Formats: sequence, structure tokens, C-alpha cells
Amino acid sequence: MQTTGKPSGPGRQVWENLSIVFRSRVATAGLVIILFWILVAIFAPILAPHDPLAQDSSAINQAPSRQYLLGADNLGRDILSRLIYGSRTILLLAPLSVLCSVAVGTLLGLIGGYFGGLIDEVVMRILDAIMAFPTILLYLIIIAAIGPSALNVVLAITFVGAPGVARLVRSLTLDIRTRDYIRAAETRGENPFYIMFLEILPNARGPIIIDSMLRVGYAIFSIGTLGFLGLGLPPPTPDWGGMISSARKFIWTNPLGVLWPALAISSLVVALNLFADGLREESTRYQ
Amino acid sequence: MAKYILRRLVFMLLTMLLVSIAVFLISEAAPGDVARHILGQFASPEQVELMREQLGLTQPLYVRYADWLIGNDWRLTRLVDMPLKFTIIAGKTEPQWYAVAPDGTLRQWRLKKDEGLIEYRFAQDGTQELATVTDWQLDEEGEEIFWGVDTANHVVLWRKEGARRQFGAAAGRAMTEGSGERYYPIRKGLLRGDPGISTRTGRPVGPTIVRRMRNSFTLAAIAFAFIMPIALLLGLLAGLREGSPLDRSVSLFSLITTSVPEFASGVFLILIFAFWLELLPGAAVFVDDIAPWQDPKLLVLPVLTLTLVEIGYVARMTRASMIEVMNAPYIRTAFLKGLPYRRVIFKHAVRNALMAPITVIMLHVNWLIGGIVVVESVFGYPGLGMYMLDSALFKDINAIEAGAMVMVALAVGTQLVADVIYTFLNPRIRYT
Amino acid sequence: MHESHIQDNAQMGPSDGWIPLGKDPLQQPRDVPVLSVERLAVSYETRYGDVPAVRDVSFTVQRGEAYSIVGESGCGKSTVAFSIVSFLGRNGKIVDGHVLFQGRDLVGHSEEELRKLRGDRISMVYQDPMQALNPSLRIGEQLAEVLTVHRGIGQSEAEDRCIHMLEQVHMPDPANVMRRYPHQISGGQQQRVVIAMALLNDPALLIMDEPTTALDVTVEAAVLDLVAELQHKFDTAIMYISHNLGVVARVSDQVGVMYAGTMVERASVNDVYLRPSHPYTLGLMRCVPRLGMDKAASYLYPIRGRVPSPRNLPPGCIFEPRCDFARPVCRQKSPEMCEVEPEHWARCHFAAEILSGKLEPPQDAVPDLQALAERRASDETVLRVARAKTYYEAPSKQLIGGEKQYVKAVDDVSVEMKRGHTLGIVGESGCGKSTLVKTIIGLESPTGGEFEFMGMDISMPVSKRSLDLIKELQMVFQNPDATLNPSFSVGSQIGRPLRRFKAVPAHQVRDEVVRILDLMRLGENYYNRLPRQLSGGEKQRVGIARAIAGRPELVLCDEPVSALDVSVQAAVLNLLLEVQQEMGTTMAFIAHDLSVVRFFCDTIAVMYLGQIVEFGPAEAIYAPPYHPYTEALLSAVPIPDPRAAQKHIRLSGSVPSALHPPSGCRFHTRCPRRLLLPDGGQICTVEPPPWQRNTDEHRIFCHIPLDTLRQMDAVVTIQE
Repeated sequence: MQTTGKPSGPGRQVWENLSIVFRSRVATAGLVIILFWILVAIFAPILAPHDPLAQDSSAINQAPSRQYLLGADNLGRDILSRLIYGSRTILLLAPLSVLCSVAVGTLLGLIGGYFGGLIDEVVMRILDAIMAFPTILLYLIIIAAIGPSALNVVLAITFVGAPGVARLVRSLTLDIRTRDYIRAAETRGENPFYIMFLEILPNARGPIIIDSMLRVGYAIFSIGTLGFLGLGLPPPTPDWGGMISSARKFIWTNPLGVLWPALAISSLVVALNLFADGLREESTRYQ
Repeated sequence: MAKYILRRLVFMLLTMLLVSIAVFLISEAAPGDVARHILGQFASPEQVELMREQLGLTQPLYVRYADWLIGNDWRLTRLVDMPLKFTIIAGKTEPQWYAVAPDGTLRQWRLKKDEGLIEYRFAQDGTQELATVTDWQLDEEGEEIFWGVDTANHVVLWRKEGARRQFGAAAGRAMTEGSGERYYPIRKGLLRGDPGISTRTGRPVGPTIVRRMRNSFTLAAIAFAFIMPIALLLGLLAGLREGSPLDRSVSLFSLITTSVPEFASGVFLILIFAFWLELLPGAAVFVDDIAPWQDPKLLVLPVLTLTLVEIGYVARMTRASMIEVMNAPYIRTAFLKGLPYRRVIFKHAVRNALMAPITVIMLHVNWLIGGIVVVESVFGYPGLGMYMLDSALFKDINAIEAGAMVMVALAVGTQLVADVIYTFLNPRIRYT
Repeated sequence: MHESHIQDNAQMGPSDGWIPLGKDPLQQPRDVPVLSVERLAVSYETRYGDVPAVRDVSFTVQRGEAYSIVGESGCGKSTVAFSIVSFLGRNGKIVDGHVLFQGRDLVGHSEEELRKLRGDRISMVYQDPMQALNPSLRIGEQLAEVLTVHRGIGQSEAEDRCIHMLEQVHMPDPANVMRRYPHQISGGQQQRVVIAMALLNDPALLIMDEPTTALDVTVEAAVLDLVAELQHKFDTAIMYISHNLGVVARVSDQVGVMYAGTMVERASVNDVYLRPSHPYTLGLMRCVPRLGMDKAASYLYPIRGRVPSPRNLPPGCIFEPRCDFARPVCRQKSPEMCEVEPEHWARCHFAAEILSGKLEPPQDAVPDLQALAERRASDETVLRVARAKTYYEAPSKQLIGGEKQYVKAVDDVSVEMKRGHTLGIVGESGCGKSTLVKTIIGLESPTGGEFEFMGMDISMPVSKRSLDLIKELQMVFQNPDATLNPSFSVGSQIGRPLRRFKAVPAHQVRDEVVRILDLMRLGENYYNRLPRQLSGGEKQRVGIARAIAGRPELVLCDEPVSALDVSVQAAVLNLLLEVQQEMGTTMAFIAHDLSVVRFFCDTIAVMYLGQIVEFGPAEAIYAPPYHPYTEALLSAVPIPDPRAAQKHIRLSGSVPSALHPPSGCRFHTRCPRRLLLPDGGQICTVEPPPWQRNTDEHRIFCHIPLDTLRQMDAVVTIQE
């Protein structure tokens, strides 16, 4: 069907987006670190030298050794293996919770922005009220009420994140819906959901995707924080935030035990932000 | 303007009311029992039940909420048939609830195993008299009962014959003797300045929160004093020279410092400054009553951690805003009017460039509060954040409620302030 | 410090023949031009290397003269303006040529010296006055600093001078305006402030970059009058940058025509408009309708193709790919600017032949409107709107209660449209023309009135209409960049109405789309393109294709050509005309350009503040008797013909709010003809005027007797 030699359709889009990434050194650096952690998470069982839950009472708070490359924690568990498996937890929960908040937020934002009027007023007032809350308070109250578990962490982050997405999508929708092509769709008598999802949403996807990237970074940040505060995953699960929290108590005997997970989580969040930020800079510069 | 602020204040109060209800409901829905939490795993079901009653948990939710909000002393007065008074008397360390007898003495009662119900009479000067209760009342079933105030701030119904419950010899603190028939914890209610007793510490929440707030405020204020000038300056300079090496380094530095979670950057700072360089203390352990500024060394690392995270955020906002303003047509006009560079920047650009970040930064207070909780937790700093965290983990409803009210008031209040400031900065809003 | 610096320069001046910039040497002989640009070339650095934005531009502006640079968007005319003061942003630079200001070359001067010149000897005014003023500083501050910085005078003296200057630009209550912020005054007043600001230091050169593009015609006319008045008062040289051939014809003495970054012709305004010698200028003149032309008697000749990108210029003559006279030599050799006759320069190998008439552009026949006329014979009324009202609820300022207020966007409007006819709706912005159209198509719900389309009631929003009805009413939009959904291909967007209205069986949709693309002169290879790969004119054509795909009975066009360059406008107008001929479509056409409306429409409705004030056949609207508002509009419209003489009627004030429209006749607050009535038109303030019938089809909504209105002269006359 295509007569031109250039790649076309979705293939070309992917290529264009990738070339945007590689134009920015910062975004490239971010992408490399993210890919590193994704690979670590995928191949965790192969890479991890020990069982992350196995306790070795002879190695409690041990410094790095040949057996335990990064040392062992206060229960004598291998820190390296726990780090490797911890990447799985965080790389699963963070995108999942972002996906949920983006789905909920997009729906609310589209509805509020497109219909306007009373619906918009009610939805936005509620979301504003949620956003007016200190985030940490929401986490504290939600987790205190429903107890810490993986599902609840996802729920809490969705609940806290969705209003922000909704606001973004709403403002994009408010802008896009004034365009004449929406008017044209309306004069064709298109159904509102066709207009919202097929006429508006595809044109809002750029900012939503970039926002989601930033949100994944933020979700990792939050999951780490919840883990650190003891509101995250229940204890035996390898979780970076939780590892820092328990190792913090033994910082004077085993300083490296707290350093590794702190480095791991920092590198991942920084990488995600570098990536998203580089992407945003490049994509807005040449519009 | 005054009307606008007033309207916002009313909305703010309304928000806080809704928040308090929401927190109450969520805490109610929470699995796990506070009484069990206090008493530990080995308490008998009867003991737990008694504890629940003494905490007031057996009453319907709406009654508890009303009690919490507006107090119940005015209601309980009718049961005791004497006015109730919350006061401190000479020789005691903490204020307590007393019944005020017609003769002006303050009274409390206590059922002792062999002596029966003892009445304590305190005169104004602190002298104390003991007497055995004789004026028992008759209830509908003809049994002799007595309504009084016990020594742990409850209104209690005692029965002369056959107390239905055993003396509470339960493990754990906070348990008063369980000889009464019914217990109502007396409270003044939040609106009258009494957030209740902490179930975790058994001490009144109010004074603790005030002290903890002071500590947190000190921390935040010092950090703020560092953040704002530095971040605004860096942001303005970077925005002014978009694409320059300065801009690139400021952008990268701020991106990295804002993305590293506080607990990680706190750990890095402790390792560097406390562990390896041994320059500063790595934890901020205070004797509870000492104000944090009395040992400034302890504050350095917490403040630095908070500053690192926030400074990047503010700098980035300011930079973006400055870039936008510098590209605005009115800046071009200013240059084409032949104004000197400095005048264009200071007179035309800076004010407009600060408008956006100031509001965004003010709204950022939500985030700042989160940061403070984490930083306090990292350094063991006895601030409001730590208090909230501990209370949440313990399900200490009174403390959570009070802390939530403070935080929400702070957040909503700052937003109000931000709006007012914005209105003053932006004539387009001021004059419409 | 500041003053001593100037003095140093002044002392230095005579000794080494150096005259400091920023000083107006009054002793200078009058024949030294204020501005002389010689072979100017400007490039912008981009990711793709240096892009030459301007090449080989030369012209001269004399004292007291108005010089215009005219050209379509992207031809580099603004770059020329900014390079005069060397203000080209970080990535722009002058790579060649000289800018001689009062005899001294400004290229290569230090930023500090240029700064002293800007706002003092050379001032600039540009497009959007709201954007040009700092929103958070009072107008007084923004004005006075021009004086305090350049003249070093005190604040209070500066303010007095500013107030004086505001009086010069006819600003009402200047002392009060000084204390206001920009958003507190109207757009026309903002532009006056900007002009006052530019004139405070009595500059030798005033550069105006599209100064009236954002303004309504009546405001535009007043601003142009003002500039002309000040030009004579201060003897300033003025340089206009404009795309509007009408404005240029009205204001200029000399004109330079720019195309794709270079100047292709320059001469006196009469020569450029009446004796163009470059094919591009000739093309421009042939593609704009002049007031009075209509589609039955004349033809607009579009310029084919599109402006080449500055990154990808054709080898020989830059206009060769689009030129009707192109010969092989044009492709090989780039022509130099040559003087065809005294003071008339053109960049064309065949300029002399064109000027002498040896080369004539192809003449197409005026389209045959016979077929259309036959269809019309039925004279069937397609649309009937009676006493239509569309109100918007105004947001209440009170928290609770308070009477609801309504913006009466359309108030008591009655219109009829006949099959195959075109109705034009004209009026200033905010007069309700768009709302009327939106109500007809169902994007707004009417508050009252009757709407009947082919015998069916359409007084409901589009969501409540049947698919068959929806299919018959379609719309063409103004902004080419917003008319197409950026995420979908051209083919799928044209195909959507076909599928939705089941206009053709599903398997034939693609063929039908290709057929329509051919009709739009776009071709099948456009099928898979995305909107961002199209030019403005192409986007607009796809927009038209989408509207007509379902073969609607009535197409409503909301300013379909006003965002397009003139050469593209003609092509789109011709296309609409063809569609109408082929399908017999009925059209409504909103526009603010009265020449275009006159050319394109059969019937015209003139609207003011939510009401129709005059309704009738196009030719009747443009000849007496006029409604006083129509008369004012016609006298304000810029006509692309320097010979045109217009009556000087200017409306005072701005359009009143539609929230509280004036009582009686809504136009009475601004009506210049009210005084023709006994006792100064007292009746206009009290009673709504009657509809007076001039002919069966032509009616005027005015108290002034028709006989009085008939006695007036025509507004526009062309002096041969």
C-alpha cells in the first residue's frame, strides 16, 4: 500500500520517538539505567546468588565478603539477593499503580473536561479536596485503615495519584475540545464517548505519556517511602524502602547495609526522571 | 477581598469538618482493635471489653464523633448531678476532671475492695479529705447505684451490691480498676481545645502536639530560610541563560536532588557527615522538653536533607517560569524600548517570573509535610511527623485526628495564603 | 554617569567625523534617507544548519514617508523589521549587507549603542498590543520609563509628557489611563498606548509590524487614521509590515513586495498595485477580490503551488515553480533586481515585457453559473429562521441568589436561505454571527424562535437530531490548524462522515474519498497523509472535503479563508464555488472581509450586537441606501486599490456589552447618522427601529426614513 521508502505508520512513530530520546544525552543515560534495572528484575532468579529470605545466623550484619558480595543484613540475609529481588517488587508495583491512576484519572478528566457543567464541578471539587491533603497524611490514613500489603500500596498510590492525572487530562481536554475538529465531530452528531476517546484522547497522549513516566518515578519514590515508614510491604518481602528502614537501626555497625538499597532506589528514581525530563524537553522544543 | 477571604475561611472550616468525619470513619473501618493493641495479646476478652468501654469505644460512632468534636462533659453532668470541671490542683502534675460539689470542693470517687466507694474531697487550697459514700441512689430495679467521677477522667456508674465485673488486673498501663458498671470518658471536645487522651501514651494529645509542632516548625522554617533565596536565585539565573552551562548544571543538579527520596538522601548524609567524617551527630535525639534550637548541631543534617529535596523543586519551577517570561512579547517590547538589560530583567521580568512559582511553591506545602515526616523518621527527630507516624501505626485515633486536623489546616491555610499573595502580585486578578 | 557618557560621545563626534548614534542631527540635509537597507541578508541557526531567512533586500525610506513591506506569512518581512535594530534573538544574525540609519551603518554596532537607539530614534509597534504591554506594570510606568531612560528627565516631568502624548493619540481621560493596568483598557486603546509609547521620543523611524491585524475593521481604520495624522504632525518616517493588501494600499507611499525571503518588486504604491511588473505581484493583485467584484462577473486567479521553504529554495528564480511566465532561463539563472522604469524595481527576467503588456497572464473564463441558476429556479426556501434568540447565562458574581444575567448573543434574528444561494453574514467580532451559525447547526441551543430546515424543526441541539437531519447540515471552520484531527490521516477523516452517514456502501468508501480528494485537487497520494504534512490551504481543502463528503444540503462556513494567505484564499474560494456549482449546495458564509463577502455571496446580512440591521442582495448592501452601521463598515474596510476613495466615517467608542444592550436601537450609542433625525434622534434611544423595505428583498432596520438614506453618496469610489 505504501509507495514511499520511509517507514510509515506505527513503525515510524516508534522510530521518531526513539530518535527524540537519543537526541538527548540526559534521556539516554536515564534509559540505560532503567533498562539495567528491568533486566535485573527479569533475570532475578539467575542473578541472585542466594535465596533472598534465607537467614544465616553466622553472617548477621556482616561486611561484604566473597560469600555475601554486598554483605548481609541484621537477620543474616544476603543484601545483594534482596536488592535483586527487591527490584522485582518495585518494578511491578510502580507501573501497576501508575497504570491504575492514569486509567482512573484519564476517565475522570475526560468526562469532567468534555461535559463541563455540574459533573465537572462536582468531580473537580472532590479531586481538589483530595489534592489539598498532604499526600503523606493520605498514605498514613489509608494504610493505617486497610493495613499494609502490596494491593493496598497500589490502591493508596492510585488514590493519591489519580486526581493529578485527572487535572492534567481535564486541562488538555478543555484545550482540545475547543478545536474545530471536535466541533466537526459534533456537527456529525458523534456520540460523546466517541469524541472523548477517539477524537480527544489520541491528541492528549503525548503529555499523558510523559506525565506517566514522571509518575512512575514518583510511585517508586512513594513505594520506597511507604516501605521506609513501615507502611509498605509486610516484612519478609524484599523491599528497598523496608531494607533501608531496618538497616537504618544498624547504621553504626553495618553502614553499607543501608547504603546499597539507598543507592538502588535513588538510581532508579533519578533515571526515570532524567528520562521523562529529557523526553519532555526534546519533544516540546521542536513542536 | 475581605469577603473573598471570609468565604475561603468558611470553606476551609467546612473542609476540616469533612476531613474529621472522614478520618473518623476510616479509623472506624480499620481492622484491629485499639484495646487489644494496648493490652497485648494475652489479655482476656473481658479485659479487652472493659478497656473498650473505658476508651468509650462501645458507644455508637456518631456519639463518639460528637463527643470528640464538642465534648460530653455537659451531657455527663446530668448523670453525676454536679458540674464537672477540668482543672489542676495543688500537688498534682496533670489537670484532671472533678465534680464540683455545692460546697465548692472538688470531688473524685474510687471503689476500694474492702472499704467500699471512697469519696475524695479537695478544697481550693489543695487539702484533701476522704469519706465513704453513703448516699447511694436507687435505680429502676431498686438497686443501689452511684454516678461519680473516677481518678482517670471517666464518669462511672458504681453498684453497691454485686459488682458485675472483676477488678481489672490486666497487663499494660492505662487500665483503671475495672470495678464500675459503666464508663464514659469525659472530654471537652476539639472545638474547646481538647483533642483527648492518646491511647498510645495515655497522656493528653494537646500539649504533646503543640510541642511537636514547635519542633517541626523549627525544622521547616530553617530549611525554608535556606531554600527560598537560593532556589529562587538559581532558578532565575538558569532561566535567564537558557541552555548555558550554568543552566544545564542547575537543571541537572535540581533534577537529581529532587528525585532522590528523602530517606535515601538522609542516609547518604548520615554516612558522609556522621559516619565517615564524624563531623555531626547522625540522629536528632532530644530530651522531649528541650527545644531543638538549644542544640543546633543536631539540626544540621535534618535541615540539609530537607533543603536538598526542596531546593531543586523550587529552582526548577522558577527556571521554567523565567524562561516563559523571557520569551514573552512584552519583554521584547522592553528591549525594543531601549531599556538597559538590568532594568528589563528587574523591572519587567522578575516580578512576572515569580508569580507562577510562588503559588506553586505554596501548594507544595503538602509535599513538604511528607518530606518532614520522612526526615523526622530518618533522624528520629521528635516532630509532628514522627508523632503522626507512630500514632498511625498504633491506631491512636485521638492523636491521628488531631494531627490530621493540624496538617489539613496547614495545607488549606497555605493555599489560602498563596491565593492572596498571587492576587496581590497579579493585577489582572486584583482588578476584576 | 549616563549623561556624561553621552557628552563624551558628543565631544568625540566632530573631531573624527563620528556622529554619535542616538543624536538626531537636525542640520542634516533632507535628502539623506532616514533608512537605507542595502543587500541585507539574515540567517537563523537551527538544528539543520543555517537557514537563510532574508536574502538581498534593499530599500530606502525617506523622511516623512510611509514605506510598506508586503508579503505572505513566512516571507521574512518581520525579520527585516527586527534586523533594522539588530534584534534577532539568540540564533539570528545579519550575514551580509548594511542598514544605514540616517547615513550611519548600524550593522556591527555594540549592543549598548543599539540600545540607545531603540525606543529613542527607532521605535517599533507590533501585532498584539495586549501581549506587547507588561501585564503587571501600570501603563504610566511603562510609558514614562521610555523618557526617563533615554532622556534622563525626572519622573513627574516624564509623566506630564506621557499624558500629553496620550492626548495626541486621542486617548480619553489620559491621566486616569496612566494609573491603569493594560488589561483594564480595550484592545484599540492598548494599541493607542503602544503607539504613544513609540512616539514619546519623537523617533525618526517608526516600524509597525502588522499593527492592526488583531483588531476589528472599524478599530483598524481609526488606528490607521491616527498613525497617518501623527506621521504628518511629527514628520516621522514610517515602515509598515503587513500581509494585508488593503491596509498597504491605504497607508503607503512606497511599497516593497517580499517573497520567500527576498524582495521581488519595489516602487510607488500606485505602480505596484496598478502596474505590477513581477509575476508574483501581478498574481497577488489578481487573486484578491476588490470591493464590488462578484462571482458572476469576475474570477479570482490563485497562484498555484506553495511558497518554498527557506531550507529548500529552487535553483534559479525563486518564483519560477509557481510562475505563469516561466521559461527555461528562469530555472537556470536567478534574476537580479533591476530598474524597469525610473524608481520601479523588479526581480524578474521579463519585468519589462510584463510591464509593457507584451506578456499577459492567462485569462480564464468567468465560471458558468448557468447550471447553478437553473437549480435555483425553484427558489425553494431551505432554511427559515424567525425571531431567533440565543442567550448565554453570564457567570454570576454573587455566591448565592442574585438575578441571572444573560449575554444576548443572538437576539430576535430572522433569516431565510434559498436553495443554492449563498448567504453572507458580516459584522465586527462579538456581533453574534458565529453564535447564529452554531445555533442553526445545533452546537448551541436556541433560547427562543423558530428554526425550520426543509420543513423540519431544528430548534434543538445536534445531539437530539436524527442522523438524516445531521447529514444535511455541515460546517467548514476557520483555523486550518485546528480543523483536522492531528492524529488521523486525511483519508480516514474524509471517510468518517461517509461511514457515519452511510453515504456510500462500506467497501466503496475509499473510492469515494479518492473521488472527493480529486475534486479538491489534492489527489490520491494525500490519502494517507497526516494533517501536519499539509500546508494551510491543503488543510482547509480537506476540511471542506470532510464537510461536503456526505453531500449536505446546507454548508455553513465560518470565516473559511480569513486565516489563509491571499494567494491561497483565492484557490479555496474557487473550490467552494465549484462545490456549489457541482452539488447545488446552499451556503452560509461568515466573514469579516467585506470584499470577500461581496464577491462570494448572493445575499448578505449585516449584524450588530446580536441583531441583523440590514439584509438584502449583495449589490444592494454595497450601494445606498445604507444602514448607518453598514455605511461605517464600508468606509472602514481596507481596499486593495490605491485609487479607492472612501467616505470618512468613524465609529466612536467600542461595541457595548451584550449583557446590557442599549435600549431602543442598539446602534444608537455609536450611530453617526442619528443627528439626521429631528431632535437628535431621541426616538432611537427609546424605540426599536422598524424594518424599512427598500425593495422586496432589501430591508433596513433603522428609524431614519429611506428617502434620507437614499440620498447619501456611495461610500467607495474608484478614481480613475
